[in-house]
Amino acid sequence: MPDRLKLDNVQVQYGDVVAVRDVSLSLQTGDIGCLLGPSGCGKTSLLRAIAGFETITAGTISVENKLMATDAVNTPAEHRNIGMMFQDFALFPHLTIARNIAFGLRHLTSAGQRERIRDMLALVGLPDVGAKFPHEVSGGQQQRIALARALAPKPQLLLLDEPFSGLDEEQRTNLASEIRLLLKTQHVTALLVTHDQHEAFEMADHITLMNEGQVVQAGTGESLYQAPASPFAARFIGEGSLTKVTPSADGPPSALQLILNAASQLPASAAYQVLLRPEHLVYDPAGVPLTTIQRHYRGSHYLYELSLDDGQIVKCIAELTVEREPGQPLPVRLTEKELIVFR
Amino acid sequence: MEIAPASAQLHPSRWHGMAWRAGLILTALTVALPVLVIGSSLFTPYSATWAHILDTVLVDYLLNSLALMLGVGIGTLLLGVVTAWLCATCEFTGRKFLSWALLLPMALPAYIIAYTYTGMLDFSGPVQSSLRSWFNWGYGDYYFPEIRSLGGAICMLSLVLYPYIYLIARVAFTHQSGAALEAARSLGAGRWRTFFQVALPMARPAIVAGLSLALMETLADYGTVDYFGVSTFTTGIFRTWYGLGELNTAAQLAGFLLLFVFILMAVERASRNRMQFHTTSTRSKIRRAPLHGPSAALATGFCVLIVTLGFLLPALQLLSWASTSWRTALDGQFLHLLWNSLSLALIASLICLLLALFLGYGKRRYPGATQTGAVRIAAMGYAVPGTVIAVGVLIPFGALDNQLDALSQTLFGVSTGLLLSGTLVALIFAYVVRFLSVSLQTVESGLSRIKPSLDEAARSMGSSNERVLRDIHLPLLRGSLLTALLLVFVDVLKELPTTLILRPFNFNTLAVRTFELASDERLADAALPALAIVIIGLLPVILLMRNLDKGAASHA
Repeated sequence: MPDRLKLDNVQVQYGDVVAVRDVSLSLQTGDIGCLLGPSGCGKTSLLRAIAGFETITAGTISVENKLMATDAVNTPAEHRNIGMMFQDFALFPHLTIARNIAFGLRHLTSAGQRERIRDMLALVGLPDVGAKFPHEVSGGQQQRIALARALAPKPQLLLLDEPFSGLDEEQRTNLASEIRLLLKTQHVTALLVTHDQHEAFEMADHITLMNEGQVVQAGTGESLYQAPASPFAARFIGEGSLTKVTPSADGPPSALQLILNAASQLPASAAYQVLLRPEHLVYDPAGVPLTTIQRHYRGSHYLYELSLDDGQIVKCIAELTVEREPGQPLPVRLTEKELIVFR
Repeated sequence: MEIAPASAQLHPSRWHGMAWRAGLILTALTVALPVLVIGSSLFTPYSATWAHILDTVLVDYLLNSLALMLGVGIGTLLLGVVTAWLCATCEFTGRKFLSWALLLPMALPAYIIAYTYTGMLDFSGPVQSSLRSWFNWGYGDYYFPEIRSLGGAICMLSLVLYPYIYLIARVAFTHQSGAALEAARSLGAGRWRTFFQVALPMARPAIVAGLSLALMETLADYGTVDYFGVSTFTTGIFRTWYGLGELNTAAQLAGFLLLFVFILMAVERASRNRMQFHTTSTRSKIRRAPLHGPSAALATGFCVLIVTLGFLLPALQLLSWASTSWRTALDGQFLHLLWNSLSLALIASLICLLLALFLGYGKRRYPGATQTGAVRIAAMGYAVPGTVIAVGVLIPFGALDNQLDALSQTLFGVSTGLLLSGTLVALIFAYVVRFLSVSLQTVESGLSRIKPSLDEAARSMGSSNERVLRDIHLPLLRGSLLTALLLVFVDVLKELPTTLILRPFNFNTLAVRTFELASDERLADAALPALAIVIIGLLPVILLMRNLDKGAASHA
């Protein structure tokens, strides 16, 4: 089966500034991909290049084996049959919701348009809003309408630019899983851009992590969390602390070395960094005592910030029965056998 | 008062509120008086002259006014929308310079550009003379279009009024969500369909608001149409009053003109209301598409051509006339004119500012439907032609003078003559009626930027009301107050028909003198006062340019 979307060594440049460097990725039919990264990492530039709003300076973009863009060729956005949902939804304020959806349906007869509008509105669960104007419905509804409008012309690929950033926290998680279900049942191939890893985990089958214009790592959410391939990935995904271990030539071993040594056979001699996630450390009365810096109440548990002897902070999850005030010691033990180590 | 005070301590502020409210209503009624007089004149008996007017000139007035509005509407739309679209969404050589230079024609009053072009294009003017010498033509050998015609008036008015549309449409296009245009393209619409079905409709309320302003100015114009011999409502009102001496008939004609104005006002108001729905989030700024080759040259050329025709050429012609005539023209009489104009403009702008502050603060401190209504009525004058206001001032002031005169005759046996209507009082009152809205708009927008929480913060730190005004409001408002003064000052300086009708006998201003000299075909002699008006008229344009750079669209 050919890839629905294929990028080969794509580069996007603004003057001298290279926003996207040498990015290759592919997306199979029916898959939902995600470009994840901090702001300014080039993910939005890349998405806009796929949509046809930016020209690329090197590499190729193809959809269903059809070349869309190279450094010399650039199919105009209106001829790509790629749908896009915008961050601010970009609904046309002067058109009713029905006419917004009809905008991309010029190839259909008016009866065909009516039918498709009805289907799309039913699909996003808003069957009765067609005659209203965009400003007459809520933000969450505007977002679904933007989705309906983008999907109405049956695009080969749907692009979503930070689709949930215009909504408040509460609406986000619900809508993310709802929209994933909708895209999956409609067999839509989609690529989304976000800086929020939880949205990425919720929505995507494949995540491409980007930093400074380049792909850092690609894979499923699980693989990114469990096996970050670089210190950047380790820091960006999850709530862990990347902790420096420095060799102590002589003298007593540090608290960190005691914790690590008790659980595994990590070398004590060379300098390296180790990824400690909160769930890696547990309270154990017989463990190594660390100083409590702060306690965060998380409803079902406490999240403790603890200080090592050299001032580095590690996090630890503890049951609600374990109560320590800042300054008091909390003894901990390592649970994870195979730690992620960067030398 | 709707709510009963909880304690006796509230009573003083209650009286305050009632006093402010009464003051606002009284001011609004006074300012609305001329319009009320004109409106009610429609219900007074129609004189025998009406049959004559109906048979002969009324159809002319109507058709010419409509044709003028249609022509100027098309002309200003074409010039205004195209230049706004180019400057807002495209990148081409000279765009930055041109996008403010396109405002320059606003500094030229229509009657000045009209007589300048007449001088340039008439038989002995530079254009026809050059043509004749190049091609060896003689008199009658060639056809040359007559500028002093309806078509000519449409061209002149379009050239100086298009900035009303350019200004507001440029802001609308610039603030349009870039994402909406991209959304259209991702849904398969090409550049032209995107422009006509998304960009233009989204900017339509703004464009219509600008258009109605331009058409109000067209209806108000007297100097151009009179000079070009085109009979419209404004020239008709003049002729009826000066030629036939029928003030009431003039008022009734003015009443019909007012009906047109009200339609435009309603259109403008509705458009402005709809503008708020059409401004989408500004998160995705529109990105200017670079133009290349012929299209870039065409864009630059088009904008340069409009600036040249609308400002450069007439300004250069005025300069060249003034350079030949200034020795004789720059005399004591000219300084006297200058003094008359400046002092009149200063007095009127100060009164407007004080009234605007009174109305603005009243509405702010004692908000309510009555107060808002009063302020809105007081701000109606911008739409009403100066000719209409002038006639509307003459009638009540004349009646009052007659009453006073009769009273004084019976009591003291002395005739007071014309106490009000023949004096500067009537003229300044008319200016205030016409231009109060300009200062009111500026003061209100300035006040709206001072959030009530600032007052409350200052009060909670122990400041008195007076100190809040002096130390918080005054510094924050200073810019708005100066702007309000300047805008009214320049508008008064340029105003022609009101001054022509209401000025005291033998009292001249720069505008009146320019018009009189031009009407006597002493074009070169008119250049110096005209140039003075244009130079002073440049001040608010420069102010506007600076505001535009800050991204704010202020008074047009």
